[in-house]
Amino acid sequence: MKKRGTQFLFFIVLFTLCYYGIYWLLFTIKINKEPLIKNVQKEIILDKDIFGKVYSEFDRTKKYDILFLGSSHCYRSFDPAIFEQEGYSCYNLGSSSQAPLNSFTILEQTINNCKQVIFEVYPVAGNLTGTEAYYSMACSGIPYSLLAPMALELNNLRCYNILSIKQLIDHNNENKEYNIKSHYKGYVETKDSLKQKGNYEEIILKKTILNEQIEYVNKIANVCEKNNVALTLVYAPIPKELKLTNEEYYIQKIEDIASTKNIKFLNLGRNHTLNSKNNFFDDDHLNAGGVKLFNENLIEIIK
Amino acid sequence: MLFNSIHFLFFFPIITLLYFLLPKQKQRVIMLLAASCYFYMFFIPIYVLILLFTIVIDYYAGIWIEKQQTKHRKKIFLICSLVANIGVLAFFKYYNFLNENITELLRLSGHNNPIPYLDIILPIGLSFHTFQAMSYTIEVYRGNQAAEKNFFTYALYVMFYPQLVAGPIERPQNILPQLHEKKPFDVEKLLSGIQLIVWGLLKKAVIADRFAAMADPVFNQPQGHSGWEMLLATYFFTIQIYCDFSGYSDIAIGSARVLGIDLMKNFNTPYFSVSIAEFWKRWHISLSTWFRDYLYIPLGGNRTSKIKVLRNILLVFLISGLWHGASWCFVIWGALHAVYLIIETVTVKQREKLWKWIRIKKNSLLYKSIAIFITFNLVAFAWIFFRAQQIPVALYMVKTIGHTLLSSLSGGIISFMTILYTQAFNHIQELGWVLFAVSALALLSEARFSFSQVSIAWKRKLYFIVVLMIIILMGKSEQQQFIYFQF
Repeated sequence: MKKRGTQFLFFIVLFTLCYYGIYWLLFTIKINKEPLIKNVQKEIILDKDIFGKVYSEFDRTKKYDILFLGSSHCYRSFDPAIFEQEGYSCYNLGSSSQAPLNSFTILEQTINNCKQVIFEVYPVAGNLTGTEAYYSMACSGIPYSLLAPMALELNNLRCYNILSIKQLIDHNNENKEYNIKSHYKGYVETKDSLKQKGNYEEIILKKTILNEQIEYVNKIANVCEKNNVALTLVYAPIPKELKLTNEEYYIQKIEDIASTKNIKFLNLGRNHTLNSKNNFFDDDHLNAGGVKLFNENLIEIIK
Repeated sequence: MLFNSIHFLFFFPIITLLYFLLPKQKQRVIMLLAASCYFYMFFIPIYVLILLFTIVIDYYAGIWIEKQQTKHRKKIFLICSLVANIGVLAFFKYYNFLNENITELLRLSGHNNPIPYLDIILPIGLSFHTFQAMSYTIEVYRGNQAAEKNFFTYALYVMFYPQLVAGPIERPQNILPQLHEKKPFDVEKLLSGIQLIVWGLLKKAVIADRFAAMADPVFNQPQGHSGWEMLLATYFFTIQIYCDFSGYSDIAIGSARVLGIDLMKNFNTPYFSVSIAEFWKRWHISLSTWFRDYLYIPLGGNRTSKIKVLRNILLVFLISGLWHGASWCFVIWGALHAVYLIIETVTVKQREKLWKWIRIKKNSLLYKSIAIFITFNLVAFAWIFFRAQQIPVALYMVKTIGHTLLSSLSGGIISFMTILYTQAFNHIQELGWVLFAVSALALLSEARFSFSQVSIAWKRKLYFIVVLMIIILMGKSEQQQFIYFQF
C-alpha cells in the first residue's frame, strides 16, 4: 500500500511537471509570430481585452455614486462623462460578453466601492454562460482575486485549466497592446453611424441558459440589498429591427425580479425614439450620439 | 449526470471509496442503488418513479413466472411484464409520433384528430433500461435465469449507474451473479478501469465534440452549404457518432470495472468491418445481440425459408430503427441497413465470383481495403437519415451531394480528385491539423491495441500523461450531452 501511495505521488509530480512543461513549450514555440498554443487550445484567445486596463484603473479607495455593470452593451451605452456633468461620480465595469454570472462576481469584489449599481440586462448577454467573458478576462491581466471566484462560479474544468496557466498567459501578453486603444472610466466611445451592417439576423436565445443567468440577476439583487446599495436594472436601447427569440421571456423574468424585490427596472430596449441608422454604429450598439441622447434621458429618469 | 461533467469527477471516486469501505455486499448494493438514483435524478428527478414502477412490476413478474408450473401460466405473467415495459416506452416515446401520423392520415381524409398532443419529455435512456428489464423477464421465462429474490439487487440490475442511460444493455446472467458476489479491491482492475475511462473521455471530449462542431451547422441548416460541405459533414458525423457512443460505453465499462463488475463489450472497431453483417457484429453489440436473441431467432432466424430470413432481417432492422427514435428518419435508417444486408445475403455467390474474376483474394490487403471502404461509405450514407431527423432535409442533402459528385466526376477523375483534395484540405484545416492527426492516430491505434490492457508501470504512466494532456489541451470545454442519451 505504501509503495502504491509513493507511486501515485510520483505520478502526480511527474504529471504536474509534464503539464507545465508542455504548456511552457506551447507558449514558447512560435509559428508566424504566434505561440503554438493558439493552434492547439482555441479557448486561449491571447488578445488583451480593454477590460484588463479598465479593471486595473478602478479606484479601490473611492466610493463611486454609480457603478455600471453588464456586457459590451454596458460599456458602450453609459458614458460616465455625461453623468459627471450632472454631479455623479461613476465607473463603468462592463466588458465584452459579460453574462450576469460574471457581473455578479465583479460586483462581489466592488460592492464596497459604490452607492448605486446600474446593471444592464441585454437579453443576449443572458444567453451566455459566462465562460466567454472569463476566457477574455483571463487573457487580459485580471488578478486571481477576481478570476478564481469566477472560475468557482462557472465550475468548468476548462476555467480551472486556464486559471492554472494564468502566469504563462500573462507573461505572453505582457507587452501586448489592448484590443481597444482608449476608454473613459470604462466607457468606450464610437462615433460612426450604422453603415456596413444592418442585417439584423435573428438571435435565438436558449431558455435553459437564460434561466441560469436569471438566477445571477437575482443574486446581484441580493448582494445589493445586503450591502444597502441601490440597484437599477436597465435594458439599454437596441435597434427596433433586431429580432431576439425569447426576449419577452427574459424581460418578463427580469420584471418579476424587479417587482418582487422592489427594484427599479427601466425597460428602454425597445421603448425609445432613437434612429437605427444614425444613433447606432452596428446591429446592436449605440454610437456616441445615441449614448448622449440615451444618457441624458436616463439621468432625467433616475433623478 | 453526465460522465463528462465536473459532478462525475467527484461522484465517481466518492462512490468507489464508499463501495469498498462497506463490509457487506448487501450494504454495497443498497449504496450503489442510492447512488444510481442520485445519478439518474440529475436529469428529471420525478422520472425515477417511472423506473421504480417498471422495476416493481418486473421484480414480481420474475418471481411469479418462476413459481408457475405450466408454460401457459408463465407466459401470462411474461406478457404482463412485457406489456407494462412496452406500454411505458410506447407512451413516452411513441405517443406523439403515432398521434402525428394519425393527424396526418385524418387530415388527408378531411377529418380532424380529436386525440390531444401531449407535452411529454422523454425519460433519459428509457429504451436502454426497458430493454434490459425485458431481457430479465424473458430469461426467467426461458428458464435461463433464476428469479431474483432480493428487490434491491434486482433494482440495481436495472439501475446500475454506469450503464443506466446508454447501455451496454446487459443480460441478467452476466450482471446478477456479479451483484451477489463481494468484490475485493483490485488495483489492476482500478487502473485498467480508469485507463478505459480516460480513453472514453478522449473519444468524447476531443474527437466527438470537436467533429460535432463541424457537422452540426451543416445538418442543422443544409441550405446554406455546398454539396462538398454536406459530404464532409456526413463523414464528420460518422466519426462523431462512433466516438460519442463508444466513448460513453468505454466510460461505462471502465466505471463498472473499477467496482469489480465486468460489463459486455459494446464496440469492436466497427468502421473496420468488411461487410454490413460484420459491422452489426461490431457496432452496439449489446443491442444487436438483444435483437438477435429476443426477436430474430424467435422469428426463425436463419433456419427458415430464404424469403422468411429476408423478412426477419427487414423486420428486425425496422424495429431497431424505431427503437432509436420516434421518427420516420430512424425507420429509413433501419430500412437502409436491412436493404444492405438483404443485398449482401442474396448476392453472396455473385460477389464471390466477382472477386475471383478480378483476381483479388479474400484474405488480401487489397480486398480488405476495398471492402472496408465500401462498408464505411454505406454506413456513412445511412447516417445522413439518422442525423437529419427530417426526411426532406435528408433527401435534400442526398440530392445535393449526389449532384455535386456527379458534376465533379463529369470533369474527369483527376479533376474530381483535385476538388476532393482541396475541399478535404480546407475543412481539415478548419478543424485543425493537430486535432485531425490526433483523432486519426487514436482511431487507428484503437484498432490495434487495447488501451485498458497496458499494464507495465512506465507505459501506464506515459499513457495517462499523454491521454490526459490531449484531453486538457484539445477537449471541448462545454459539456455536450451524449447522442444516445435521447434514446
